[in-house]
Amino acid sequence: MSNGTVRSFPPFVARVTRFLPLLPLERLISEVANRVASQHPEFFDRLDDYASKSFVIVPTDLDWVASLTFHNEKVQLHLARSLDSFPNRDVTVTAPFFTLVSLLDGEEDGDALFFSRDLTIEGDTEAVLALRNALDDAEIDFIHECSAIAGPLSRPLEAGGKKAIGLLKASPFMRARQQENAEPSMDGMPGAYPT
Amino acid sequence: MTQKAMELVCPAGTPAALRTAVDAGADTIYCGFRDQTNARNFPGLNFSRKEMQQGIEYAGKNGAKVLVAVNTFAQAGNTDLWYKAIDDVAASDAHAIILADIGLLDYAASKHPDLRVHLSVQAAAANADMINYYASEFGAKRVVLPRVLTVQEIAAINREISCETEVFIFGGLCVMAEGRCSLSSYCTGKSPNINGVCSPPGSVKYEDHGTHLESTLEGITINQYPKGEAAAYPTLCKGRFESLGETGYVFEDPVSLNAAQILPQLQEAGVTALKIEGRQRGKAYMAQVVKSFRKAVDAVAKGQSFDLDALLAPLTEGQKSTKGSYQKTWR
Repeated sequence: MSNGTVRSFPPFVARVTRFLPLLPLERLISEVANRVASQHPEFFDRLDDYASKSFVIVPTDLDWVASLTFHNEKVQLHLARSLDSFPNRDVTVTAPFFTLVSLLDGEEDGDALFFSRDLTIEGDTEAVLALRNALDDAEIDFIHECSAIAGPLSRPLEAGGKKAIGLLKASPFMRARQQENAEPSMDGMPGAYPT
Repeated sequence: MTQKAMELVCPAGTPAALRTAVDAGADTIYCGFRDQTNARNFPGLNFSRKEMQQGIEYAGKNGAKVLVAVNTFAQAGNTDLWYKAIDDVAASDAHAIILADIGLLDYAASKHPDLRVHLSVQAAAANADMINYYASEFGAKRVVLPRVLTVQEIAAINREISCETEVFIFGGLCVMAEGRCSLSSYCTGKSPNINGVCSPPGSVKYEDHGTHLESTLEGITINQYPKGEAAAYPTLCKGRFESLGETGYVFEDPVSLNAAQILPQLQEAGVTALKIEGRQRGKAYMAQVVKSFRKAVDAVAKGQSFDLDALLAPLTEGQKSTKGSYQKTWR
């Protein structure tokens, strides 16, 4: 089932990060996102009319959700503790945090993650496809872009960040997908389980 | 004994995917313009004219070729869009154009006699007489064979035709007569053959009900996946329906084609080029699939063995694969 590469933070990470203030994080991610956007004008061209849609990203292993809109070739980002904060969302994309990052980086194939049920999408399917394709073409390097705001320290920060994340993803600290879902179950299905 | 390796033809839905495929070892890349002239007309996908020329230049610098697919059927009263696409391919440095519509084949042959033409799988040319007709009347230099033939039938066709053959080896698998299927049109009002979209995403919805994931097409349930079961594309031909009191896959299971194991037989059958499906897929798919098949195709040419199945399984629809019609084991 799971493609074997998906790793999640253990639950206590969400419990700890619950107490972190969202506003500074929101400002930091917004700055990075707009810096990236300014370097990739073709992203908005590819996103086309779907730039007016509201995309909500749900990292399943963290305690916040992010809403993204792309009006006037600017990224507007808002963080909240609950999906209910964005009732008018057009698209909801749900996956563990590092899976979402690997999608952004183009390291994982979105369709494969969907087949393996490691990624769930709901809402406007056209909009989510346009976003996926626009991001895939933009060739964004998440760690590189995040490190860039450190100015002269960006290069060591990027190298250290990539190494640390690589180690973290491979460490026993991160959880592989729950094995209890390895076999399909008919429990709760609305009709007879298909043959 | 080393033979000439079969040509590896790889998809690209974006310029980044094209560069990835070239860097991963593709001999040839196929792609389309960002409109309904190509059969993968999805949001955010495909190439502007400028991007196409840049992609052709990138491929050329790295020893690869680009084929441009104009492989939908021209809409009555609105043929200019397709004629313009053909004119633009002819004016570019693309290696060839991929066409399916007999009227467009005639247009290309008349207006651009020097333009190399490949016959799309959408033309559903599945026997030597049809292929020879396209070759003699419109100068088709290569035919992409429909995914309904056995290896023996491909070998027989190759003995009777003068043009090259290209066959699919990996990716999404249409079970209908290609270029003729209107199944999704009945639900959505859009034709895969004219609009370039089978199960157009505007008609697709996914809903997570906790116990199961449901996919619908224009409100019609295509499938319900219980927790723990691999999901698939929301196409009617691979939907799970109730019929005569039983629920199951009425037309075909959601599986992908993987002909890796029969590459030596395809070479033996005289196939010139091997095609990977998936212009709608991302760079990660491209890198993994193209690198894997590059090794496999080179190994086959040298008479060596290889094993790709475990490597490619996660990338296949429903996480299951089949050799399709090449070795007929379908129900």
